[in-house]
Amino acid sequence: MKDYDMIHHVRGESQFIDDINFPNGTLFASVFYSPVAHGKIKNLDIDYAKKISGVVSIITYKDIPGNNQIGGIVQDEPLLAENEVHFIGMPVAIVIAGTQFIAREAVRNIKIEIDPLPVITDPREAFAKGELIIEPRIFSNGDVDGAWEKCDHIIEGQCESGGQEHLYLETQGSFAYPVEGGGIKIVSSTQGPTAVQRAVSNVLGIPMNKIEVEVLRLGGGFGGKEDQASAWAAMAALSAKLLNRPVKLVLPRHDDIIMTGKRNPYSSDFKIGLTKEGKILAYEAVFYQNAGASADLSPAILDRTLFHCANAYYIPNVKATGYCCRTNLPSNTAFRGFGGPQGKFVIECAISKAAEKMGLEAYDIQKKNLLKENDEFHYGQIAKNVQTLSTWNAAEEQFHFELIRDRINKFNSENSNFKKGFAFMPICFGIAFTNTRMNQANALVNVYTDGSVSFSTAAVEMGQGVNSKIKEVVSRVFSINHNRIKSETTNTTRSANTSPTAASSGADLNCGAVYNACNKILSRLKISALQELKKNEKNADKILIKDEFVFYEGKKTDLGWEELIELTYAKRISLSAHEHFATPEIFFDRDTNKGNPFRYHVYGTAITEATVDCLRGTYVIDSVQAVHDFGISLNPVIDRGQAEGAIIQGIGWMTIEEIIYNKDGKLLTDLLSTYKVPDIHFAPKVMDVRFLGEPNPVGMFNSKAIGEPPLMYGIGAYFAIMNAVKAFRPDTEFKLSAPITPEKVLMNLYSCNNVRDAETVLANNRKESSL
Amino acid sequence: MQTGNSTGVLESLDGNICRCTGHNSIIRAAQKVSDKFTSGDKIITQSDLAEMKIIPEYFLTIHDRLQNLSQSGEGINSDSKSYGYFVGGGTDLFVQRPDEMMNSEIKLLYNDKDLFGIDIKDGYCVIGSNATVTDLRECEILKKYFPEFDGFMNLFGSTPIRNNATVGGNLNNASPIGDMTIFFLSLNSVVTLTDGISERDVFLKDYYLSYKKTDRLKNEYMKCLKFKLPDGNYFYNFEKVSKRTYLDIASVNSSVFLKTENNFITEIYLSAGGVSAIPLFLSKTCEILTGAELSPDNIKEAVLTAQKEISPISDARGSEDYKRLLLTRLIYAHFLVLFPEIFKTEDTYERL
Repeated sequence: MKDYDMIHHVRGESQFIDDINFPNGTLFASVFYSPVAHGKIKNLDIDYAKKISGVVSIITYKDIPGNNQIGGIVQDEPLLAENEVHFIGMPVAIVIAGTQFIAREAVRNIKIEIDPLPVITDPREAFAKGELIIEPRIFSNGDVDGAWEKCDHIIEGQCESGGQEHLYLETQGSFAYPVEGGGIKIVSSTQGPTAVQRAVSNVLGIPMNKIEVEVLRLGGGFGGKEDQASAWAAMAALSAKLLNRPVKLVLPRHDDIIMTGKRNPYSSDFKIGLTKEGKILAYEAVFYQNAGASADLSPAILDRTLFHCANAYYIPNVKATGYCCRTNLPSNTAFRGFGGPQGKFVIECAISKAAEKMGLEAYDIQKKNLLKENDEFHYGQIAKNVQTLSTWNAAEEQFHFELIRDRINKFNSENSNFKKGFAFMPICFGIAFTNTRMNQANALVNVYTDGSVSFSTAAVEMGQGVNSKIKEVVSRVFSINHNRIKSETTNTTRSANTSPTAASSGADLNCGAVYNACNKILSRLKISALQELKKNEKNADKILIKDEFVFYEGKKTDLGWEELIELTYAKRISLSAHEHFATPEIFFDRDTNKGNPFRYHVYGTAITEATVDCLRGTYVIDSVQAVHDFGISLNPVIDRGQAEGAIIQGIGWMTIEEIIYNKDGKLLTDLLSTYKVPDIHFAPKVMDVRFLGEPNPVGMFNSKAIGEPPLMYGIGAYFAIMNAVKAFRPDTEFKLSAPITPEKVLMNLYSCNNVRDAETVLANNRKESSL
Repeated sequence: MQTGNSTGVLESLDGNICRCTGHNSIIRAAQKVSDKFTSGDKIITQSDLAEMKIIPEYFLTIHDRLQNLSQSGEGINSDSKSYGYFVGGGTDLFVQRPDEMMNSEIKLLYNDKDLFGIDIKDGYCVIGSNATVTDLRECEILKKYFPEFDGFMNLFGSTPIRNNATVGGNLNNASPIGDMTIFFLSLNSVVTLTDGISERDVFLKDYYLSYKKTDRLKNEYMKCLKFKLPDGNYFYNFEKVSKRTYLDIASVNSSVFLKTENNFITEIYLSAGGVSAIPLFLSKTCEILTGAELSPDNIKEAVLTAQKEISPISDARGSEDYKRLLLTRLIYAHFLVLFPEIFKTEDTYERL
C-alpha cells in the first residue's frame, strides 16, 4: 500500500496551478495591498501605474459587478478595500498585465494616501475596547463557582500561544477563464471548491451553476486554503470576467505571507482547582482569540477551542469562555487543529503550574485525570471507546518510561551545561465538523466498459493521501486491483455543494460517499451476475465478487470482472452511481452548547524529550515517542506520514515558528529568512509512532481520522524544554508563552528581563568588591 | 550523495524544507537508497543511477548543458563602473531584490579566473573573492590551521547555498551578521579592492562604515581576502545562535582568535555580529583583554566592556535585551570551549 500521488511527485509530473499550460493571451494579475493597518483611504492614485507599457487594467472595488463581499460565517470581509483599510496586506486593487513582472512593477507604482486610525494588534486590548466579532461563547458543566471551596489547591495564571504561518509550499493561486454563456471556469488551489464557487458567484453576481471550480491537487493546505483561497480565485475570476481573457493569479511567497491569515494567536487566563492528591475538580479558562480584521473561520475555531479546552481529562466542573477579538491584522484562519491546540495548550499550562506549586509531577496529575469510558464531556457527549489510559499505559511500557526518567535524572545530575527534560502529552480530539450541517459529502463512481474505474469526490488531495484511501475503499468494495482505479480531479460540477476538505474528515466523509456509490453499483453487478449464471435465482446475496471473480454460493465461477462489466453494460444496466453520505448520530445545540457533536474521538499519548544548552539557550528535540489511536488504518504508510508530519508541525508551532507583528500591525517575520519552520536537522533523531491497533466501530473499515490530532503531541515539546530549563533553574518563575524560542529559553535561564540594568548591577557589584 | 552514513544523507538534503512530512520519512527513504550502494566496493556513478532508473537519463547531460549556457559578461574590464551590481554567487542579492536585479545592469564575477584560488603568499593566506564556502571548507590550508572551521561553516546556509555563496559576495553584502565576515574579522583580515587597474588594501575591521555601507567605491570590486597565517600558541572559536540551529541567520554570532603565553593573553581579536549596524570588531574589549590573565574576573570585565561597545536593535531575530544577554553568553562560551581547565560553567552563572 502506498500513496499513489507520490510517484508523480517524485518524477516531477504532478500538476499544480503554476504547471497548467495556459492558453495564448493569458494575462497575469498582481495585487496592490494596504501598507497601513487601519485608516481611511484619502486617495488612490493608479494613473501612473496604468500607463506602464504592458498593463492592461487596474481593477478596484468600483468595478465589481456583484457584491464586494467574500465573508463566510459573517459577511464582514470585502474582496477589495472601499473607503477603509483594516490590516496591512488588505487587497485594494488588482493589476492585470501581459506578464507577471510588469504587473508587479505596476503595483509598485500605485500610490495610496491613508488617514491613519488607531491600530489594535492585541486581543485583550480589542476586548477592552469592545471589538468582538461575535457574542462571547461559554461552554460549561457542573458548578465551577461552587467547586472552588472543595479544592485543596487553586492555581491561576496566564499564558500565550502564538500564530503560525501555514507555509504550504504551493502559494495561493487561481487560474480563471471565461466560458460561453457568461460563465467562468476556475482552477484553484483551494481546500473548499464550493466556498470558492459561492464567493465568485457573489462577487460576479452570477448564479453558481455558471461557475465551475476545478482542483487538481494542492501543494499543501493545512487549513490555509479552507477559506482563504476564495479571495484570489474571486480576483482571478473578476479579472477574467471583466476583460474576457484568461487570467492567472499566483501569489509570490512574500505577498502570500503578508496578505493571508495564520493560526489564531490566543492570550488566555486559567484557574484550576485540585484535591491534594492531584484530582482536578474545577477548571475555568478565558480565551482571548486574536481573530484579525474579519470573522473568517475564527468563530468556528473558537468553538473548537472550547470543545477541547479540557483535552483528554475528565473534569466535573468546567467553565470556558471565548472572545473572538477583532484586531488590525490579516484575518486569522483555520490551521491544522482548528483551535483545538490552542485550547489544549492552556490546560497543559494549568496542570504544569499546578504541579510546580503542589510539588507533584505534571505526569502524575495528567494520568490521574485521564478521561474514562462513559465519562461525559463538558459539552454533553458521552465518551465511547476511550483510548486515553490504554495509549498512556502502552507508551509507558513500550518506551520504558521509568528508564527514560532515570536516565534523564542521571544526566541532569552529571551535567551542568546541558539539561534534559521530558513531557507526556495525551490527546483527545473530536472528529466531525462542529457545524453539523457540513458533515456530508457526495461522490461519483464510474465503471468503464473495459473494467477500469474512476471516482470523483469532494475530497481535495493536498499531499495527505486522501485519494489513496478512497482508492482502497473502492478496491475493497469491488474486490479489484488498485491499478484499475483512478482518482479524478475535484470539481464542483461532478461534486456539488461540498464541504471543504478539512476537520480531519476528508477521508471519512468522502470514503463514505464512495462506499455508498460503489455498493450501489455492486448491487447492480450482483443482479447482473446472477442473471448470467443462474437465470432462475432471485437472491443476489448468493453472489460475491472476490479478487476480480464472481463467486456463487462461495464457489468461484469463470465469470471475471471485465466480462461481468461488459455484459452488464450490454444489459443496459448503469455502471455509474452518484451517492451521498451524511455522518449519522451527530447534533449540537448552539444555544445550550450541548449535544453529540462528534462521531468519535481520536486518542493517543506521546513522550517528548529535549536537551537544552544552558550556556547558549538553544535546544534539540531528541525524541518523540507516541502510541496513537489510528483505529485499523486504511493505509499505514500514509497514516504514519500524517502523524509524523503533524507532530513536527506542532513542535514547530511550539518552538521556533514565531510570528511577530510590530505595534503598527506590520509583520516582521514576512520572509523565510525570518520565519523559521523545522528543517531536516531539526527533525528529532528518534521519531517512533506506534499503532494502538484498536478498531473504530464507527469508522470506515474500522479506521480513524488522522490529519489534525497528532499535531497536538507537539505541545509536549514545549513542556519538555521547560522542564529542562527548570532542571537548570529550579527557582525560576517560568513565563508561559509559546513559541518557546531560544530567546525565551535564554531569558528564562537567566531570568533577567533587562540585561542592561542587570549589567549595571553587576558593574556596581564589581566596584563594591574591588573596594 | 555521500553514502553510507546519516550525516551524508542529511547533508545531501539539507537545503530543502518539507512542510508535510516533517522530514523523518525523507531521511528514511534517502537512507534506504544510500544503503543500496554501500554493500559493495564499487563506486556508484551517475550513469549507474540512470541505468538503475533511480534518476532519469537526461540528468547525465545536465553538466554539459550548463557548461554550454552562454556566459554573458565574461572577464572584468576598466569600464566596470557602468555596472549597478557586481554579483558573486548571487545567493543574497537575487533573494533580497529579485525584481530590481532583473532590471539592473549586473556584472557576473563568478567566471573571473583571477578571483579564484586559495594560496599562501608571504606568510598570508590569500583567498580569491570567488572562493565559495564549500571551497573554504575543503581547502587544505584552512584545514591545517583551523581544523574546526569546517564545523563552524556547517552552520552557514545549506549545502546548495554553500556551494554558491562566495567570500566576496558574503563580505560585500555587508550583513551585520554574516558568518564568514565575523570569522574573518577575528583573523584581522585584509580585503584587497580593485577597479581593474589599481589595487588597495583595507583592514576588514575598517571596511564597514555603516549599515550595508562599505569602504568600497562604486567601480571597485573585491579581489581577495587575506590574513596572516597564525603561528605559536594560538586559539580560535566561533559561536552562533539562531532561532533554527541550521539554515538560519544568526541572532548573534561571535568569533575569537587569541594567542597566549603562560595563561596571559598576548594578542586577541574578538568580533560579534547582530549587535550593531555593521559586523563589529570589539576593539575596546580586545584592548582590555590584551595582556590580561586568563581568569574569570577578567572575562567578566571584558563582557561588561563588550556591552558598552554594542548597540543591538530589537527585531525579528530577537529583542535588544536578548541580544545583549546572548553576546555575553557567547563570549563566555568562547573561553569555556577554549580553556575548559581554567573556566568553569559556574563562573558564568551570575544570577542577576
